[in-house]
Amino acid sequence: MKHRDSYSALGLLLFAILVGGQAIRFPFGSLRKVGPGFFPLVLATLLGILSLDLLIKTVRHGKEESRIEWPKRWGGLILVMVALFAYSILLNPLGFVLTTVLFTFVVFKFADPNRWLAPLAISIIATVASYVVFKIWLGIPFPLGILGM
Amino acid sequence: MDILSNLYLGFSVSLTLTNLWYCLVGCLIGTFIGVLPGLGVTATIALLMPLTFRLDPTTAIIMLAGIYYGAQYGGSTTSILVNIPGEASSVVTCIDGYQMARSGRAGPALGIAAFGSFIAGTLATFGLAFLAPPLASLALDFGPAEYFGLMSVGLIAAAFLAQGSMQKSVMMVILGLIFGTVGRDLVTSFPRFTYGIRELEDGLGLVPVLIGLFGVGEMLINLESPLEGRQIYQQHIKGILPSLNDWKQSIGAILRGSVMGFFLGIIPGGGAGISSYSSYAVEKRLSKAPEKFGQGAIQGVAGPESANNAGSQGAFVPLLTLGIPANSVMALLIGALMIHGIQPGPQIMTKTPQMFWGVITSMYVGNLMLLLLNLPLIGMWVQLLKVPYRIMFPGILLICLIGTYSMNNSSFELFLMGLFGILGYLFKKLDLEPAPMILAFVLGPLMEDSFKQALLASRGDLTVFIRRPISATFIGVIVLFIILQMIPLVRRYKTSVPKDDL
Repeated sequence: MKHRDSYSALGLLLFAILVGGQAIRFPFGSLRKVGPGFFPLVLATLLGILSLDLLIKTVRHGKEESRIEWPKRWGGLILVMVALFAYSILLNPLGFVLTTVLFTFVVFKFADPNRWLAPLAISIIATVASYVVFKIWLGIPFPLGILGM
Repeated sequence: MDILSNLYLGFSVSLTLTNLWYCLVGCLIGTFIGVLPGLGVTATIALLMPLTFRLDPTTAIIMLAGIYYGAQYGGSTTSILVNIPGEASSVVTCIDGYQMARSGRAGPALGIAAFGSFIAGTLATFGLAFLAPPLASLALDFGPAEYFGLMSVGLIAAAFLAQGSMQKSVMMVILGLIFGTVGRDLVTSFPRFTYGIRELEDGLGLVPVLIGLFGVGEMLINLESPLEGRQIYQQHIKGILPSLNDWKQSIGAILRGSVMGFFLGIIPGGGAGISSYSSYAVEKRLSKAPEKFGQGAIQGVAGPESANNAGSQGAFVPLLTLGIPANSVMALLIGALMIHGIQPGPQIMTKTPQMFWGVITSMYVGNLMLLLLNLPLIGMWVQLLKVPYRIMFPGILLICLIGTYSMNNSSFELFLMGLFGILGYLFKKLDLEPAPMILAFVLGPLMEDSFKQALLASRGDLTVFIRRPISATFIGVIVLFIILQMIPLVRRYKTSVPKDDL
């Protein structure tokens, strides 16, 4: 599996099978009265056929310049992804202020690994600034977590 | 004459203090993010959607439109001064613009870009004013079969115009259509792919999807390379006004770019990127000294910069007349309209003419503002570029998070944003085009609805799509696209078009 297109094709094929497998259980309806399952099933089938075709084409004549390039620095990627998901999970229990400070600190620290004070200061400033702009000025309600803010 | 009274109505709306203010705000924000590489127009508009809730819908659209064409002005600044495109539509401006800067002609380059953009914007505004009403009247006669045909043409056009293999783009279209089926089916309320999650019953949110794909996804791709600084053209910029000779050389390019850009902007999947690239190619072909292109030919700046502005305004034609988005930004505007309870489509012109003409005339106002303000403010924009990326990027992520949350107060949507961020990253790695997918995602529910209604009316007769003349024309165009794609000459041309984040 060297080529980008084979990953795309395989991924989309699996997706099509997953979607189709569920769509088949929706009421299909008839041409006269189209049911909710019609579109998803037809689309999943089309996608499946095209993906399979692409997969076969790529495996047979994949070109050299379309080889996939794995990133050499994947640590940052993983960190940011985890931080983003953590934010969405922790926002309600911990509240806006705490979660935002933590998130910003972690990301700034990653961007500037050698310093402690600067990332901490910036994360507090950024959180206060966002609080003022979004909660006070724009009036958007934020979750109050364990700290009550 | 009708058009004069319409323009009068429009200006009476767009020249109110509120609308002038928000037009200005939009233009400034647009220029700002146009200058900043890394944060795209689509993600920014998605982020600012919540702000527009409290505004009158006309004002909201005026502001969002200002951001869109304002970004075209901003993008040229970084292209010329730093050789880094601020927006995808400014890529070609780098080629000759940066060379002009290096030979001490940054001023005229920036100047001709601004003036060209203004002329293009003005012409495009007139184009809109003349073209939109007849198109909208035509569309009033459209039935569900015609709408289905039209939307299908739009999606095929988007797949055709996207870079890379059409087969992959069509697959992306289907993917988008599938994403569009998530949620409760409109007619029967049957839950599709909701897995008992309440937030999914209305479907996947447009804002988390777009911010994830374009905002987060862009940040993730940037993480692959070290967060380093950039070389900014340091010397003092003198002489912003282009010379008479510069004007003589550029005026043709500006006019050609405006017309070409406008029409390319109308086509779904077209837009500012394709407009600027096509303009560059045309100018090079028509030039008596093509070898100068790449060394600092002013037409290489004047043409594309005019084209991308005209393109961004041309994209409003399908939105205001047919209710169909030509690109992701228009898709967001449709979302904004629907939130305000306005049904996009030809009724916008008939039922709310003050919005229709107000938005069109505001574009002229906005272009004027941008011309007058941008040139003096260039110094300020350049200072902004000196902020190190490692400070900007966490800030952008934070804005993505809070912005998405502020839409619906939903942590689930934050999670969705993260998921689509990963997807956006994967799409870039795998060379899959997100633009056709987005269009399909937005059009999907509408298409399905039209399809159902058409078949309901014809009592299950599929040939209804071919029997009705307008709809048959659309089917014919689709077949034409498929045939065109199979011609090798067309395929080779397509592989050299740069990508557009719209």
